[in-house]
Parts: sequence; C-alpha cells; structure tokens
Amino acid sequence: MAMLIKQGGVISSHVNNQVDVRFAADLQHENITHDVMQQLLSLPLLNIQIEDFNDGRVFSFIRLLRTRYQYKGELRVSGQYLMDQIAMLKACGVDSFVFSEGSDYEHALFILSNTPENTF
Amino acid sequence: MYQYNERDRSSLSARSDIFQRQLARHLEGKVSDDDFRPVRLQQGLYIQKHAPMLRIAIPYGMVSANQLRALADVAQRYDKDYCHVTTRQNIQFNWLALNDIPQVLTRLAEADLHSIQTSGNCIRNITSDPFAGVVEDELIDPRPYCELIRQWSLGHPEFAFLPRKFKISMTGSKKDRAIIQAHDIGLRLVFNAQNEIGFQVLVGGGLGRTPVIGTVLSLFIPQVDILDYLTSILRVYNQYGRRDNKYKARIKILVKAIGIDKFKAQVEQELDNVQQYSKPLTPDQIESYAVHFQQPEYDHISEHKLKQFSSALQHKSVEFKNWYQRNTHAHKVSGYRSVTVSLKDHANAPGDIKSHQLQTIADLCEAYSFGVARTTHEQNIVLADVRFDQLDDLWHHLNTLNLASPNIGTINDMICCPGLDFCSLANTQSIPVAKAIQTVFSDMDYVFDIGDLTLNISGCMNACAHHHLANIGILGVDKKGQQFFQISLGGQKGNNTTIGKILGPAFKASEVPVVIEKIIQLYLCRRVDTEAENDNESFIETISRVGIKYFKEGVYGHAH
Repeated sequence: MAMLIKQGGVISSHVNNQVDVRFAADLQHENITHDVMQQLLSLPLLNIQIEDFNDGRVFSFIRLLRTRYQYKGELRVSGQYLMDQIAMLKACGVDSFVFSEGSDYEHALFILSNTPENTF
Repeated sequence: MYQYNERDRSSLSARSDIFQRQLARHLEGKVSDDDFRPVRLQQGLYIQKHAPMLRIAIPYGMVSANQLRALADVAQRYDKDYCHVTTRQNIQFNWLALNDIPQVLTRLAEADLHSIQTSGNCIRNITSDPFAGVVEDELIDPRPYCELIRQWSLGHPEFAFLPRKFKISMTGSKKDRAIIQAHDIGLRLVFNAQNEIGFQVLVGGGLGRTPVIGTVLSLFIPQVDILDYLTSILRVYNQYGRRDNKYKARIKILVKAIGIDKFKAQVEQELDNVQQYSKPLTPDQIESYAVHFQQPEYDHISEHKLKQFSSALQHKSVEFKNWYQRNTHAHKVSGYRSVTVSLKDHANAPGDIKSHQLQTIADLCEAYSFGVARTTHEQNIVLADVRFDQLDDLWHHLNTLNLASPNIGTINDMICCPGLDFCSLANTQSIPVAKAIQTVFSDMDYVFDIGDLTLNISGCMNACAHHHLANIGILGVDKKGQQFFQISLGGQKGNNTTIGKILGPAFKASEVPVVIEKIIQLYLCRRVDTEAENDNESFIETISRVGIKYFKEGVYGHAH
C-alpha cells in the first residue's frame, strides 16, 4: 500500500535526504545530465512535484526511473495531480503521495485498493 | 468473439464502481468541472449540446446478440429509443440524463460492455476490418491481435494522459478496409520471407484539421514484439508530442516536425530500452487470444444446392436481387455470404438505429449468423456468416424493419457525423444536408446507375465523418455565424488512401444538393461506359482520369 501523506506531514526520517524534482514544462529526462541523474539515483527519496495534471510525461518519467534507471528508493509525488490519477501513478512506480489539507483520503484509498492492475 | 472471463468482469466492475464514486463526488460538488473533465472523458462521457453523450466501446466492431439487446434496452429505458453507430465502430447515446449514467453503465456491464477510453487523451478503442475472419483476401485474422492490444491498452497507466487522443487500427487483409493509413498507428498483419507473422507499422496518419496519410515506420515487426514496439512509439510521443497547442498535439505533427527518420531512430532506441525490462509475449499467449476466434461450425453446402440457389436467384424479386447485389458480399466459405444491414434508410440520420431494430438484429444474428454482428466505420452493421439459402428469409425480416435499403457503397450510403444537432464541437448541421442529398437521390435506378461512390459529411473540421477520404467530401464551416459547406473531390480510402481536393468556394446548405447533382451529371457525361453495367468507370476512376478542373469548371463556370 502506498503511503498517503498530508502536506507538511512528510516522514521526518527522509526529510534530510529528500530531493524535489519539479516536473515542469521544460523537464524531460534526457535534459537531466548523467551526473545529476547519478546523484538522484543515489538518494533514498525523490519527491516529484507535478505542476499540471494534464502533463502525462510524468508517467513515462516515473516508469523510466523504475526500469531504465533502476531507481530503488522511494518515489513520491506532490503538487497539482488529480486524486483520480493516483492508481496510475502507483502502477508506474510511485510509493507515496503528498495530499493537500482537506483531501478525501477515503476516496484515495478506495481508488488505490480497487483499481484493477494492467498486467502487461 | 472474445468472451470475458471472471477477471475481465471483476476488473470492469471495479472500474465501474470507481467511476460511479467519482461521478457522485462531482455531483456533490466535491470535484470541480476541470478536475472531473479528464475522468469523465476517459469514461466516454461528453457534456454535449442538449444532454450528456456516452460512447460505448465496441472492440474492433465485434458485438454479440446479448450485447445488442443490452444496447437496445439502454436506448429504450434511458435514451430516446435509439442510438448511433460511429465512424470508429462504437455506439453513442445522445440523450441520457447524467443521473442515469450509473444505471446505464451497470446495465451495459451485465453484457460485458463499457465506455472506458472511448474519449480523452488516451489510447482509444482499436478498430479493424468488419469482415475480419470471413473475407477471401484475408492473410491473417486480425481479431486475436486486436484483442491483445485492447487488453494491453485498457487502463494502461503510462499512456492515459497523452498529448492528445490516440487511435490504432488494424487490418489482416490485402485490401485495407480499416483506414489504417489515417490512424495514429496503422497495423497491417503480414508474413515475412520465413513465413513468420508480424506487422507492417504505419505512424502519423490522421484527419481532423490537418489531414495526413500515415508513413511506414517499419516493414516488419515480429508478432511477439508488437506490444514493446507500440510502447516505444507511445513513449516517444508521450515525451515529445506538443502539449502547448491542442491542434498540434497529435503524433502526426510530431512525426512531421522531426521527420520520419529521426522519429524511427528514437523509437528504435526506446525499443532497445523497453525490451531490457519487458516480459516478452509468447506464442502461447497469442494463441490464448486466437482460441476465441475459431472458425464457427459452417455447414457444408453441396454443389447441387449452390447451383439450385443460383438458379433460384434469377426468379427472385427485383428488390431482393438489388439487395443481394449491393448489400451482400463474398465469403471465404462456399455457400455463405456476409450481409450489410443498411442504417442509411431515408427516414433516419445515417448510423442511427432504433431499439426495436437492434432487438431484431440481435434475434437475426442468432438465427442466421452465429450470434455475432459487427459495426462498421461506414455506420452500418454486418452479419458476417449467412448461409445462401437463408438470405431470402433474412432479407424479408430486414426489409420489414427498413434495414434492407439496397444502397451499400452507393451515394445514399453516406457517412455523416451528428453535427450541430447534437455535438457541441460542430459548426454546422450535417444531418439535414445528408437528408437533403438522400432526397435528391431517391430513385434507386438512378443511384444504381451512378454506382460505387462514397460521400461523407463532417459538421466541422474535426472530420469525424472522414470527409477527406470520400470521393465527395462535404465539410461544414462557419462564416460569420452562417453555415456553409465546402466540397472536396477525389478522396478515397483503402490501399490508395487519398485526401480529396477542395473544389472551390463553399456553398449554402440549400445549394449543396443541387451542386452534388451537378457533379454527378458531370461524371455521367464523361464516364467510360461498358456493355456490362457493373463495369462502368466508377466516379473515382473518372475523377482520377479527367481531373478535378473539369468538375470545378462545370460547377462554378469558367470564371473560377
């Protein structure tokens, strides 16, 4: 089960090692230099901030982190994603989600536990 | 056809539960319109002009009798007693109430039907040849591969928020009847020199405001690699497709912008990466889909019976003979024909079908065609496996329901989008124009004399009726609040897919039937006739030979 984290209430033990990766309009994974990528991959937690829920590149970016780059640490998303996207984000490789205050956690849990898996 | 297993049913039920909660949250005001929009679109739910429109996926056009009954039931209970066959082989309901959507989805799910991914910026329902599995020129039955791709693309977590919608079509025949050259990805099943099965892959075709014919990306991708190859194409598109302008966001624009060679290099590089981590398909896996599409148990029809039928045909009514000629097609099994049920009766909008007609088609496909029907992108329904000696009975039943208009492949078999009467994207009313043209061409002897001709009407430049690929294409345009119709000539689908050329300035709706009549007269004046009526030069052949200028001068006069 992925972790659901309230804004500001992130896991304290990871805070010092957390790096925020902003998934903004100019970011594509090949724009990240080899050195930067190596640095990212060595960290225990990457927090990917989504600025626009329509920007579906983030799904491929996360898949690539998990497959091509074999990132083994925790992948977290925060920002302007939709609650209705969390099952897809999880299927691509996300472990934890930062939610804004007042989010409907029950609905989030329902989506996470009920979305069927695409087995391909 | 493919039969759902328990896993398919529980997945569909789970997805339906989730959407019903999402819809309820929206209706309670907990989710804004903007946040709900992608969710409802991925569920095929549009907010239209008068009412929500729900588009039901008919995977590669295959639909069972039971499913036809469920669709009829929904049309009767929740809509205005009819529904509409779309140009991507789906079924649309145009008059549902938002509050009824959960019950509608539940009723459809009972028949293994859903509306998932029939809209939105995701991989849409795959389309194919409506004569798959029964047609003589088929090399490989595409349906097992369509089912494989359907399951792979359904709920694909990586490709649900693409730059724009994504449409795949597949053929397994020598002659393309699935418009593969006008899809984001077109797939053609082929054998290589070693007699192995694989795919020729086309990419970047599409219509809309920028019509483009697809380009060959690969001549042969082995069947076991097809999902990896599709993943690679989609991943390149997902990363590099434009997101700043929705009119330039389709894959065709990306392929044009960077060139096919660079695009191909990127796909191949991605394929190397994908294949390091993917689970390769196995021949057994592919076989597990193929078992769903075994040939039905055809009766052996003796030569004697075939001869009897052929000679009996001479004595049938003219109406039956016309129908046999235009609406039935050769079948790979001796003694069988495929039948197109015409949804182009003058009384209805093209592609519309009433619930009692659907009910009867369900009964008829059970009685005469192994319980399965197919929807076509031409907005008709096919009963693919009808025995010669049952055609007469079938015709009688269809005729009673006004479903036997002998007009398949003629000017009356027009493809038409719902237009401004229903669609909130449209600029113009396409359906009244279609009706007005049908009225001009109501004399069937005249229609038969004109022969094979495609005429498509799109109510706006989104081109849902594929007007670019019609011999006569009609496009509705808005000029300062007034509806005008631009006519193009010479488009065609099939192996030589061609985009028609615009004839000249647009016409008012009232002028369109007169202009079409003029174009037909110009054709009839110049076509090369032969003694055998069926061998006359077709409309498209005459255009190809004579050129568009002759028609332009004939319609507008020499001044233009």
